Amino acid sequence: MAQQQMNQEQAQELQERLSRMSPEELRDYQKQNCIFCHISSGKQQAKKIYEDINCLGVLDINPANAGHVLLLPKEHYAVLPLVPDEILGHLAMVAKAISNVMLKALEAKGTTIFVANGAAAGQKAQHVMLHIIPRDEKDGLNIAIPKYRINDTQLKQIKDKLAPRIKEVLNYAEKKPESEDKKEGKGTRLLPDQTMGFTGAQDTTIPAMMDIKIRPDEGLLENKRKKLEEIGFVERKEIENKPRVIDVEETPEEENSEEEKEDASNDEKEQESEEEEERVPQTTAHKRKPRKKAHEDENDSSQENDDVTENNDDVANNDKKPEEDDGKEESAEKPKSGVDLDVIAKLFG
Amino acid sequence: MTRPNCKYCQVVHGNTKVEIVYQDDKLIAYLNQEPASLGHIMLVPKEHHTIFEQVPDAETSKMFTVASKLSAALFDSLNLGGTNMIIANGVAAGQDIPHVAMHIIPRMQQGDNLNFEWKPKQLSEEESSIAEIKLREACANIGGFESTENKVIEHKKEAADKIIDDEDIENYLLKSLNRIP
Repeated sequence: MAQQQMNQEQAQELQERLSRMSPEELRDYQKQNCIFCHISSGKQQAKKIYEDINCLGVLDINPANAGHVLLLPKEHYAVLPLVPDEILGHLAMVAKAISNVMLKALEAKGTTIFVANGAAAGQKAQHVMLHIIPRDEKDGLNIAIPKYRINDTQLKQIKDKLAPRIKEVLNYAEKKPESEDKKEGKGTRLLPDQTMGFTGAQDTTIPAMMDIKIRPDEGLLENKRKKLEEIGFVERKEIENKPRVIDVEETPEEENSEEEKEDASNDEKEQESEEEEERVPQTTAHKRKPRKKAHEDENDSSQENDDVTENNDDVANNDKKPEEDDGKEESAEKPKSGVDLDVIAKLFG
Repeated sequence: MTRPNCKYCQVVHGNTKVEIVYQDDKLIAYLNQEPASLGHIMLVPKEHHTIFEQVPDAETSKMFTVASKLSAALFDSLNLGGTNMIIANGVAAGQDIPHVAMHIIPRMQQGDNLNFEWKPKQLSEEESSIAEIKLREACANIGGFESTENKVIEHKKEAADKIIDDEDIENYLLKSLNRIP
């Protein structure tokens, strides 16, 4: 009993101390006690399988399956919202590459990429990490996602609850219904200002990136910068110089006023046809179930078609790149971890 | 490319009516109609990619950054204890639709009847070393990413301050700290 009380007092003391700490101190405190920081600094031994400047992949000591990898940023971030966009993006790409490696080297039948964000979600350490777990049909892991029923009004309620915060965090607001319809590339296209709206973007300024240890030539930097802009990382100054409020509707309307009219009339027709379409599946829903097998067969037979079109995608991507690059980057271009189409066929065969 | 048989392609092209919570030119996020918990979001690349490895680097990055922000938004608006982000990649991992998707699943502090935890496997030293060696060899080829390779990304003090100023997240930090013995 005495011990427990002591512990409680200690816990209280600790809590008070923590609440008095500045964010900076708090972070340092966590860092000192973080085993994964010790791993990344080399104080603690671990089975490292991948390492670069920003992140580290190690084998989990309590693996769900043989080859279970933890991918973590070297810098200490206690929870996911603290991780800067750029690092998270980098982690995501490395995770994809490691997942690809698992399919090939471990001959895994699939992978699960799992992030636990918050103690309630199963985050055990105060250091953000991605789990990449090689999977097999008979591995006995139960990471199945249950499905419950929910009605449309509940969904709507949740959406209404979420909308204000999502608008704040992602700078996203839903378009008015008329522009939402099928006018791809017009009303639904985001203005540059909106895509820049990621909150992390303001902190990852391009000049900071120029202090790289290995200096690439200017052209390459320029290319990278272009690409960063595509993703949404942009110098803050540019944003501030622009007028903050841009009317989404106006500019496209002026340019495409004629098309708009056409679209409006088309929309009416489309809505009608959509309504019809919506009715049809309901009536045919019963018929569909027994035909499910037939559908699967179709899938199988269309697998080859998939592969062909995927090839086309690759070609299209390659075609695009040279337009942006000045050819300089080609030399630096990837020993990229491409996807074997056989692999896909295996997974969905 | 629309695939008539693909559920997510139908969502992307507006043929299935869903509650969209976010979309941009590459991604769409909507509320799952068969949720694991209230507020379960599906984050789907608009382009049809069968498995995760096919998604281009830039899109992958964006997928995770958007997911992080969506889960922050979920966390703030629904009074959660956390979120799980799961990509089931391949049939063996439980992927039921051949179109890459990320589940963002809200978790309550208690009693949400969800459990994604796994029982650690007891592997022999040999088994784990084999996996280690194979992976390390193959991972040596990883690189050549489209955007952020070989850059030291330093922690920005201001960024952390700004986020921590947010009351909810501060509580969240402290709350989760308390859980660690």
